[in-house]
Amino acid sequence: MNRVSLLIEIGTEELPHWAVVSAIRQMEKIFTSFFKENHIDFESVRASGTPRRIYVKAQGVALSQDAVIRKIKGPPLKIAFNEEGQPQKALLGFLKQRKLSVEEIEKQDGYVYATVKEGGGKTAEILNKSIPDLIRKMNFKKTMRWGDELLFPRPIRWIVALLGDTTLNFRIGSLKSCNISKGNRFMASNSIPIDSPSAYESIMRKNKIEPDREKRKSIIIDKMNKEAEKLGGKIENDRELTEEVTDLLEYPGVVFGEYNKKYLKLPDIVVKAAMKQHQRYFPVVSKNGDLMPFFISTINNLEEFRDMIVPGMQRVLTSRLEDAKFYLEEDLKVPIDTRVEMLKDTIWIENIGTVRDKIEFLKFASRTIADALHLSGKSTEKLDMASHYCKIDLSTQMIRDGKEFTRLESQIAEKYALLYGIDREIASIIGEHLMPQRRGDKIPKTIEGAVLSIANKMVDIAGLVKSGYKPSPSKDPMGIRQMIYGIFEIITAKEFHFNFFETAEKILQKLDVKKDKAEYITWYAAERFENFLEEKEGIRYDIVDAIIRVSYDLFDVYKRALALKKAMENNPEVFEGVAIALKRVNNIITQTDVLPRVNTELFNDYEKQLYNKTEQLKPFLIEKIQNKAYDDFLGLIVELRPYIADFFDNVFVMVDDETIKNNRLALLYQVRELFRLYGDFSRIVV
Amino acid sequence: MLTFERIILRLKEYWSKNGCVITQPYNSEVGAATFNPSTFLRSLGSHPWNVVYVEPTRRPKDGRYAENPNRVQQYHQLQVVMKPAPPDIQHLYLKSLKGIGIQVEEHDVRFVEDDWESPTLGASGLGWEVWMDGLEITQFTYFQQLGGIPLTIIPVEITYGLERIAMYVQQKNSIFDIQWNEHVKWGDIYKRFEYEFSVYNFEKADTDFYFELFDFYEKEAKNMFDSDLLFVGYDFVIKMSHIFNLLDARGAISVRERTKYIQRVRKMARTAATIFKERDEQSQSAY
Repeated sequence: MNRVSLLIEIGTEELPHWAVVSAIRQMEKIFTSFFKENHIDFESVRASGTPRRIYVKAQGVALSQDAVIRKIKGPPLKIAFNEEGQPQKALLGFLKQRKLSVEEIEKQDGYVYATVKEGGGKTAEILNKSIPDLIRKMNFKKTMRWGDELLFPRPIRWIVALLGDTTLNFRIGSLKSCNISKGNRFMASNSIPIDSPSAYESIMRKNKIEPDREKRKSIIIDKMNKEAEKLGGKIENDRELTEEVTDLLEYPGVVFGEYNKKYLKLPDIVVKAAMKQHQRYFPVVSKNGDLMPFFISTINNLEEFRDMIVPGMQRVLTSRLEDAKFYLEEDLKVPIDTRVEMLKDTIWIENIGTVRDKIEFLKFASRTIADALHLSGKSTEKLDMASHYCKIDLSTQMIRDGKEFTRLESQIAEKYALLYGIDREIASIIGEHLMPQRRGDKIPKTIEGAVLSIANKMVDIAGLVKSGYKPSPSKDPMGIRQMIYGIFEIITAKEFHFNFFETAEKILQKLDVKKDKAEYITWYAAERFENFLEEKEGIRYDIVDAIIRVSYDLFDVYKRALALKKAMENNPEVFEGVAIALKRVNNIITQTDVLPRVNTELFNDYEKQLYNKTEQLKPFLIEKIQNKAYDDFLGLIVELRPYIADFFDNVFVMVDDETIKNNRLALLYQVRELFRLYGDFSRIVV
Repeated sequence: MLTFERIILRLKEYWSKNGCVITQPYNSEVGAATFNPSTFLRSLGSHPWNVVYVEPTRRPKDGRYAENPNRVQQYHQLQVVMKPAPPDIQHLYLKSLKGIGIQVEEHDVRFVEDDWESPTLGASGLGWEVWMDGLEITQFTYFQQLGGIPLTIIPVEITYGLERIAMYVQQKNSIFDIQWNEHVKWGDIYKRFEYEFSVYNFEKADTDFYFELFDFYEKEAKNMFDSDLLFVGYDFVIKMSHIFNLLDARGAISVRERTKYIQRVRKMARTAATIFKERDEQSQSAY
């Protein structure tokens, strides 16, 4: 069999980490589907890369397309020929399009058919024609121009394209495909011929590049662990940072550096932030997790130049640590209660109040939530104190630094609270009161931390809404959606049962938010809960919508939605039927006013059967709901389904006789109410 | 040891050899070398333009009364603009570092993603900060938009942080210890200057006067644009921006007002850019 390997390398100026990851993923996908769509047989497609090159390699690629024989359908015989058997316009068009003669067709089942052979084209030719478009097809969250007509996250400077040992021949923008790549910018030649796809990785490695992203990453991790071990410690695991530094270099070099022990007296979060956030160094910690005066950094160069490189790295770190030390000493000169009063000078939200005002709202909000959760008096006291001190870091120089330390808001408050002599428990609550700030962040460990975090988010939202801010799914620069999601994350992780809407309302009222604004934001939050569960658990929005209409306890909604999702997956037709039936019920019932009590005397058989079944199930269903036994509830209530179906098939509701009509409506109302114990099933989309 | 002035001379010479015209700083306070019309205006339009110049850059907020070894309110940027950006511009840049004694092959040099944006100029670009052994020494940007106008011919802007480079090359821990030449230190020239301007920027500057002046300059800019005196009008835009920075350093502008002031500067910067672009389209050169 004639099979070869394919190599495409897109050479770029340094791509950002996110672009490397995204480009690799897209290249693999695009080329895989390219082969499939074009019926070009292949064994495997794999993409990888560095900040300066994204490459895709396909193994076992056939040199030509599969030939496909297909029978295609033409026009109906009726219009293909006239009565004399002469070909007509419809047939002639079909023949022309397919380049066939009238002798080649078959007649079958009243239609014209033709057997055609497709494909068989040369892979190289198809690639030459398609690759420019395949590259253009990639899309990124941010692209740029650099003087070519192309758009890409950073300039593309060369393209290597080989099919076997043949260089492909195409142009994209001002570039022409070739077989000349570039080596490491600092340690190798600017002109590296690639003889064949299979030699690619080894040629790259000879030129001081580890092209395979996964390999590069594992080499880095490996080297870092070894360095740390030599220092008698270990690396603090940080997946995100490891991923990032993997795409900051082509050669996976690793060195260690040191800093003065005196900085270990600083809060460890500050020292770590100075290393990690801007410098991308990895802190070294002892076996029991204490900071050691070392860091480990990746370098895009050989370790033998360590002595040239590390002093500079150490100097940069020292100047940041020196800043931190200065801030800390100055900050602690101000007593803690003065820090609270200083919050009068910090605007919380323009025209709404200062952070000092916010503190009082926080006390109210956290108390309200604690009450709704039936927490103990001791918890409420802790919350009061934590609310009082949780913003003490806002006036500190450490937080006002404007760089990496600024991101430590709340964590600095926790550390300072301890230094000011505040109780350990309270300090922990303070340290947790902003969690989670972004998707995937940690959730507070303590119950009180979780409550204060919800309170803080709700108060911020209420304040923003009061100031006239109105978020929408497409426009929300202040990130209210993120805050709402944070609240949901906490509620679901902590299994908090409380009436979300009533609590939110109390807080909105406390801030004097106008009624229309308060209603909008509550509605907005409910809608976000639908998105939230859809993203988190793949629960359809309409399921959440159905349940949130009868239960205002979001954790409960979550549990019910999960159960309903499962039940619907197991029994799709039954629930479709239920939804359709209840939609009908709703359409009929909303048209009438007051309904009488059900009079069983007036029933016919179908009505009686339905009625008896509802009466039989009712006590059990109520019990299941009370015990939150949602799977059981759903298992029971579907038993009603055939009775409802029979009813609708055989009983006409809207008869002229008012008494009978109203009696039937009353029965349907009862059925609906049973379902409504769980949710408004008519909301389910079928 | 390579002195501060030698670094400047060598870089200028290098870029001059690579086709850049050496110009002088703009004679008004700017917050970044980008404000100099040699960058902001001449980067617009389709005619080639290559320039190198040193720009003393004022950031009133960054003043530290000459007490912080790393932060000052006036420092020096060496600015290179090439339009269109040459395809081997990264290589050209790295070669320039060799000229000032940095053997890039023996160090850790990285191009770290940094997307640049100037709200007051309505300008944005994509590029990197260049790191040398963990220290950010250069801002490297492909402009995408200036004065709200998307660019079709893409210029590259390379901004060297001269003090940082000098500290790195001379291995100094404080800006004030940089050797300007063999006998004179950076601090000899600027220590007192830094202190006095910190006092002025944070304590003495008459904010009422500057608020009035801002309005006045804005009016003047508009009038000059209306009279087709582009460079004069733009001169007042630069002044507006500096006054804004000064008032901002004083904390005289609240968060909400801040956006409004930025918008006012941006509006004028847009007008300047639009006029320049129109002129450029009718002209045979970038001048």
